[in-house]
Amino acid sequence: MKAYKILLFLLVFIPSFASAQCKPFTKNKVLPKLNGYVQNDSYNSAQMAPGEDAEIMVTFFGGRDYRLLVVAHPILGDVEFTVSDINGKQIYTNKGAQDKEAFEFKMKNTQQLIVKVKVPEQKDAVVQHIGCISIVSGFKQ
Amino acid sequence: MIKKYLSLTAIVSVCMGSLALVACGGSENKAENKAPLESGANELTNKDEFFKDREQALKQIFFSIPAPIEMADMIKDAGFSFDKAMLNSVDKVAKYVDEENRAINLGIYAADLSYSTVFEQKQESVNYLAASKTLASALGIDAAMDEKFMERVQKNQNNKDSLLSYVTLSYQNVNAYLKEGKRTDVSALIVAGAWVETLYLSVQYAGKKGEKAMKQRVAEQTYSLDQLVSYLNLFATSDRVNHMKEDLTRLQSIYKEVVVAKGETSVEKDASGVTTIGSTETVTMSDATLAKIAAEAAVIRNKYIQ
Repeated sequence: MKAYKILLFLLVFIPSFASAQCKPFTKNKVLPKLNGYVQNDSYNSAQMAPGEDAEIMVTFFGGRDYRLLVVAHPILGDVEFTVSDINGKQIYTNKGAQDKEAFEFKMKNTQQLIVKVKVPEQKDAVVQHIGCISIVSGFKQ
Repeated sequence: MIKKYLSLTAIVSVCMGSLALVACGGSENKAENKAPLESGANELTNKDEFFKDREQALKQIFFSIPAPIEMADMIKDAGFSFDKAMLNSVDKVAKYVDEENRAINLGIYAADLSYSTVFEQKQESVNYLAASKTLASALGIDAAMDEKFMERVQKNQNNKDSLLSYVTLSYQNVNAYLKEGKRTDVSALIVAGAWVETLYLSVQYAGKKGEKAMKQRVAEQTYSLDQLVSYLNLFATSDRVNHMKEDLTRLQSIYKEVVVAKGETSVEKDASGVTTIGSTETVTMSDATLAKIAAEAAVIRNKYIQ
């Protein structure tokens, strides 16, 4: 009976455990791309589905240099990210950028910026996949 | 007996099939998208569950205010020196017995750890890391700072850059385990505790006569405070989050005296391709407002560290 319970647990929960884990992805695939910048946020990683979008407001301090990373699992395709001020003025888009995952910049004054992430649709896909997206920022010491 | 064995075999087969579905999905996609389905991706098998309360879930995950390490770095940049007396003693760690106090004080210790590490206080850093580990374990997230992690810290404590990366990683791990374990409210309390302690440390320096740089940084915390209170609003049903929110709302009412003059954003790119983002927006506050913020920050912080 005990074996049944364990197996039932595995059956029900293993797929959802697998779907929840973005820690290894962030640690192994994202943080090394900070390239010496010191990470200055907590944890902003989640699995997202095709067609989904998300946004995050980040405060950047004046007189400092930053590297902003938006790294998506390749299964999601070309994820678009933009950076805008709080009035909606677009400052950056990764469309056409050489490095589609990183944006380096200097801040003259302290300001809040909004990072928007959009996962492309997978209309023709027979099987849909979800994949991790991590938004990480770091400052230069 | 045979019947029982066959049923068990059937369940094992279904389990293995379930696992294989995830794994096979990987190989199928590898061919289609040239993307290995290693850690970080899988098939969307249960759409109802995945999209349930999705907007709220994404808002609870994607939230950012500057980590305590950055404010500590700005204190150092402003030319100040380390002051151990300002920190919450690690000896109090055993006093924090409920989840609310453990989470908030884990945040407070995270801020003290960041401050100690930035100022290259090796022994203090190790002490605060150990205290943080104790609280992380008590919160049921031992894995965020396991024995191997602590051993690596001990081994590398003389390397400033390594220690710094372990400190930021520990803060991230703690929040990652909580967010992925659907305990986002506990993560919110940690972040709030860290922010309160960071503000408390900052105002100790900002209040010094003639000090301008830190006073400016404290005024600019108006942005983070508004973001933090909005974030805590996402956990309206959580009493423990509401306690912290009430305290921060009081502080927010003082922060309303900080003058934010809206302006225009500018973007420049120099010849070497470096982007500079500027703004004509200004943030200012009087010494009287700073004194009120300092007093309220101390009240909130002292309430939780007791």
